[in-house]
Amino acid sequence: MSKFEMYANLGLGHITDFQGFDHMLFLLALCATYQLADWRKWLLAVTLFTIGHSVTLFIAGMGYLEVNANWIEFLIPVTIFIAGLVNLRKPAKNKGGYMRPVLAGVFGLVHGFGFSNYFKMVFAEETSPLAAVGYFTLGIEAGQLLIVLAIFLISWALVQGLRVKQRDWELFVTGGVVALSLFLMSETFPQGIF
Amino acid sequence: MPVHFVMSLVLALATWSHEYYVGVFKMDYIPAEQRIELTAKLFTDDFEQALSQFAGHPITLNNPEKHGALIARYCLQNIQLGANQGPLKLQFVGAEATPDVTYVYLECTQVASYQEINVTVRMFFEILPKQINIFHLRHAGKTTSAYLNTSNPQFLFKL
Repeated sequence: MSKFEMYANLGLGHITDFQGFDHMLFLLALCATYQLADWRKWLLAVTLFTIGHSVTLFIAGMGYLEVNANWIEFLIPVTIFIAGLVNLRKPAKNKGGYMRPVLAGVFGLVHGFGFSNYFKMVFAEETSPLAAVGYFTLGIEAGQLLIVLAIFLISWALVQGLRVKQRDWELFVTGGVVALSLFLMSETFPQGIF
Repeated sequence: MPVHFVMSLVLALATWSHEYYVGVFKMDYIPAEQRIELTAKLFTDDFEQALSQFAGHPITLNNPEKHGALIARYCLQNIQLGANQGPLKLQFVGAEATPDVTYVYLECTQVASYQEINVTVRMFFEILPKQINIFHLRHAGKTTSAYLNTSNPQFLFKL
């Protein structure tokens, strides 16, 4: 395999792996109020998330900026929680504005910090770490699009096929994601800060 | 099935903070010396866990040279190279450990030039089914890469 193939595959596996499912929760919360036809908005949001994730993966991995790992582990479910809360606004607001794509970019920045050790293991000694992270990023983007399309397939089957109300589906998904994010927040709450 | 699903979800949640298991292997062929150099870069905590299970008692790597024989046995059991119609004999050269990462150095000597080489790495699969081992093979200035996991621990590099 070429490096491109290898790192792109690695990125794809990284994001579609069930064990890394905090990404999936985030995408569920993000995409619950979009539909396939809103592709310009959700594609922008997903892509900004990918870019944010890769920027901080690189910055933290190269050691330009150190952030306490315990805080990042806690902040990741916080971002998922916020992404869920935003879904309570009127659906039209979520579909229309740029707030969610911007939020997605910011959340991507937070998530990327969680992988600085991964960077040090996998990319740090590459002849061109930037290129390697770039290939990895393309794999991540492809993986996220696969997950998003799977989410839309399920929501389409429920809304069109089983006549579930769109808003019911949105709130059902959001409730589940928010509950899990609260559980993750309690698990990762940094010890000894009070 | 639902109970099993919920259980695995809870387990995934409980262990989610360290959800990546990865190692990086770099191999170089030095034609003038007919020698293969192989460096394994591993997360120290995972390696300690694997060695502890292998040895049957707790191992810490703050002084890896002390455990040279054990590291050698574990690595030689879990890494196999084959070229020129036969297995290559790997030898342990040394190890260096930091709190995060451990490097293990291995070599093969008297290796005649080869056209293809078969690599099998099963490192940590016995304790970490999610482990991915990235393998970079450098030969005459060209790098070919692959990644090996439990479902695919072997790769045939064609030069």
